Amino acid sequence: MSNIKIELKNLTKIFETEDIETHALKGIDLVIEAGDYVSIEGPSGCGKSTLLSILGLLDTASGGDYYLEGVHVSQLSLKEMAKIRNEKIGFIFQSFNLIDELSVYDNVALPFNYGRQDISDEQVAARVKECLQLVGMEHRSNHKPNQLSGGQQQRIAIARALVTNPAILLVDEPTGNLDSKSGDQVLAVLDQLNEVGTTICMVTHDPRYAHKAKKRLKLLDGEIVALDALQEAV
Amino acid sequence: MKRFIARQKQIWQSLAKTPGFVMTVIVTMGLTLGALLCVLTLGYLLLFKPLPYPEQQSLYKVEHVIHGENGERKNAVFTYPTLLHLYKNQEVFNQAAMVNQTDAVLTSHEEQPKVQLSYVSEQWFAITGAKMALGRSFAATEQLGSNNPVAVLSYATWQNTFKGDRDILNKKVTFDGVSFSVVGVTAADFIEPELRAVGLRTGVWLPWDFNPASQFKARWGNIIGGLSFIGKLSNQYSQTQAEQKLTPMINDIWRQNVVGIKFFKGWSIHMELKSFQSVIMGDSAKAVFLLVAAVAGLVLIAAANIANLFMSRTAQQQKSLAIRAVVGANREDLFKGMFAESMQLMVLSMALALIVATVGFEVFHTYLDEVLPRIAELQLHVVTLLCAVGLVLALAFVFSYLGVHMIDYRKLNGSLQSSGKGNSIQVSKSIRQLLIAAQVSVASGLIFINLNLLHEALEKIETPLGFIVEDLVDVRLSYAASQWPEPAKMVPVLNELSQKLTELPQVVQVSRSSSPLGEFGLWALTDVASNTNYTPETRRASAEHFEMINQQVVEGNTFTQTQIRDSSPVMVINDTFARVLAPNGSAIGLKLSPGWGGDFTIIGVVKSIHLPGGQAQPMRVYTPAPLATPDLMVKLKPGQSLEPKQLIRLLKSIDSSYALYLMQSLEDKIHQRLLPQIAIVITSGVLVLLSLFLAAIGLYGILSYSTQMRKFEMGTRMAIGADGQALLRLLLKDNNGAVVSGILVSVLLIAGLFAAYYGELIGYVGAQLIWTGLVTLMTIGAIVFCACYIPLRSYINKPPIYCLRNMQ
Repeated sequence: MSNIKIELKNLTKIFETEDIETHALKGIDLVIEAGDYVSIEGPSGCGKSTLLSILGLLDTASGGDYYLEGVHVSQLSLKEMAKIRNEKIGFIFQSFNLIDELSVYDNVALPFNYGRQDISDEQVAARVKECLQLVGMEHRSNHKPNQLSGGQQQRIAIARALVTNPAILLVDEPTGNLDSKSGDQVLAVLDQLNEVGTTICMVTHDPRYAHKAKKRLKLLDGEIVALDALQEAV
Repeated sequence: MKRFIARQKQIWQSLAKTPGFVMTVIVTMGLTLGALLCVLTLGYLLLFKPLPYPEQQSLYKVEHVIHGENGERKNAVFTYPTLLHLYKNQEVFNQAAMVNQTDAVLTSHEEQPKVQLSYVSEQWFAITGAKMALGRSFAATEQLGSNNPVAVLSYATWQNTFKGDRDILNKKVTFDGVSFSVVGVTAADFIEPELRAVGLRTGVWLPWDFNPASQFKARWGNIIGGLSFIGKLSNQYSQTQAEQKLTPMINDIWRQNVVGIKFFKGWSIHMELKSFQSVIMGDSAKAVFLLVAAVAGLVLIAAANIANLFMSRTAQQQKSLAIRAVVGANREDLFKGMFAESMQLMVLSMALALIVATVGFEVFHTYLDEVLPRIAELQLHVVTLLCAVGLVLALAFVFSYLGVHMIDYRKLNGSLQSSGKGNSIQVSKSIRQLLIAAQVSVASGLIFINLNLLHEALEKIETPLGFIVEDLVDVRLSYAASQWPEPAKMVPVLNELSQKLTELPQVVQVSRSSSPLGEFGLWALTDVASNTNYTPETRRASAEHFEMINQQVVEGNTFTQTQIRDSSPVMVINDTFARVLAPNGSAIGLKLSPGWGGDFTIIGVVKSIHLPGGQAQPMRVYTPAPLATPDLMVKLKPGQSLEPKQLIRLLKSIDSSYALYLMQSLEDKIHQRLLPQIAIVITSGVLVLLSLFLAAIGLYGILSYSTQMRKFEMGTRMAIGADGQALLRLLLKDNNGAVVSGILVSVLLIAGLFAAYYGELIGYVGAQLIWTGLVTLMTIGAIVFCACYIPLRSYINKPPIYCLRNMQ
């Protein structure tokens, strides 16, 4: 079985308005393998969030091919993409994206509402508990998100991203809304997850956190200008 | 002042950037508030405004209520001698007048129009305070017994029939062969009290001495429909005291005079005083309350919709509000700004509303003049304007209050630095749910009620008549004298007319009987065998009548030409009466006694017919129509017509003493009788559509806003795998509670309405409630589904990033 999780071939993304065509991504080729910890860096507007959105099937590419675990996902319907997002992708947002009305437990369990109907309530509860333990938040399962600090909310978001045991964890500026202490804690959790084999792809501005990645991808004006593999450098 | 004007200008410039919003607010509120002003003015007019007559609180109509043997109320109609006795002997009224309302052909006029007449004693004009445009009203020269042949024209008759002839005074008008000299014309603004029927207005007033009912002056047993008595009650008597004084005075003398009539054994008369206000109002108060409630419901829906728009606008104006806050505006200042904007819109809406109300008054004048009382008085009134000002202020306050209420002032400054998450201005979930519940409850209530009204009216319209009306024309003649000539003189004229009519190329057949759609009379009859009294409806019929209208004969025979010619004492009854008379056998051969003359033998039973708008199949009897009856029914060839001028020419060629009193096709008559039902169908249909439209707009507005507020949440859910169906299910589930609550509130309101008006509404209880209820639920369900799906569609048909982008 192939070790490749994600493979992009000549991927492009063009935003069109009435008068202007903006080439956000220009012919991206990229391979992410199982257990990778990839950071995507670059200045504002270079296309890193767009790339992450396409990787997470939150957006579609204008051209090129995208293979996720060997499946050509570029041409899938919105419904099929939703299924793949649910089963194979965990997304961690800069602004946490927790639902205020739901408790911590319900937020983490939310992905099960949209897939894996064969899982019993007991199995869901066990998995949620396991993920909350992993991020050190099991004692807050009955709280509402607005009762937690930013760092705690991001850890809940990580737990939610992990709960379906996804093939890859996509992380968008996870520390953007956090103070440095909370940011460190969140990054520590990500390190820990990667150490146990979780594939991570993270967009970040912060060079301190980018250094933690094993592969560092640098984007400029929609093109990859550098791809440093830590182990290669070592 | 300059600053104020400048500020108003700024507001208008800001509004001008959103013409869609401005037009929606003005049109929605203008139309619904216009309707509300219209019905509120109507409500004030009918429920609170004093009648336009001097000392109106002392004006009464006296009712001559006849009670049967067991005290049951039979009717409230005078006999001529009791009315005269009351007029001559009463002491409780300072002023009193007798009235006999009827109609007649104005034979002195070239076009021979039919005119509504009121034969009145002279004080009628003083009681009603009638002002005159020309000449005088009745005076001592027209008192009882003076036999002075003068006439007073109504302003409308003067204008319409006599083209406003300034020389009308002293000209002659002829009715029933008597010429009256015109002595006056009532003023244009004089509004006659409509005491007999709504919309029944006198064209010409004639002195009491000439009234045709005087032929019954010695008939104590004959009640006459058009007779009435009005008076100004002396302040020495209360209403009850007056009734107690008048009742024995009339009852005693009536009983003395009917003692020989077996039918009236044990019967009595009670005199009841009814204020002009209560007589004129009748049972219109309920109709007005229902109308106000229905329109207020629409306004509520419209106001809720517009409130949603105002809240959305507040959300859109977040940046502008934040900047104002930064430069020092406090919450009160923000409220003032919103209030000024709402005021501008509400003032414009109200300008449209006043135009709509004025148009509404005209519509009421045209279509409801014969349905609701005092419509002629309906016009823009200071109460209308006060209501308008009150509504403008209240709505402007509510809309701006809701807007300012949704602002989290403390977070407002922060929103300038944020990426536009919009969380400083949001309508709370509870308010959103409340708005949805309110929309659903009002809309479902209005839809359900109007569907039932629609169903009932349609059912009445579609009820089979049991006879045919196509190509049939009803004709009635009048005679130029107060009394018809002897039958021996009439019959040859009518025979010749029938013959000449039959010879016309478009005529198939002529019957000497009245239209099946005319009102039936009532007849007191006693079953000779069982000595049981009945009061069936009665009508005279010719030998051809039943065949001509295709009314089915169930048993026995109808009349022969011989029975008609001899006016034989035979009867045809309907199957309803037959079932009562002989539940287990045949009614043929049974005898019925009218209490005078000989008994009538039943020779036939016909199937009951249904008169549109009438009660379902009452007991009816038919007797042979005398050949001297001035009623004819003409059957035409299909697609042919008969012109009144043709008939008038024929009549003049035979005997110019006869005039055409009425000529109308039965199809027109059906339409006329069904007008109230057609009006209900149109009104309830329009209300159903309006309710649907407003509910759809309103629910879409609030659910669209709700969905927009949850755009980020939707994006998040989609990011973790939710597809379109899952999100639609989520939205529907989230709104279930509000929708169900709204429906429950609606059910409770309808149940409350039912409990309050049990007597009136029990007739609506039936199987149709199930389907109207289901249709209402399905309609509301469909609206909610669409209102959830349509705004969601723009999110679920795109990749999740479109929902998340603004937030990231």
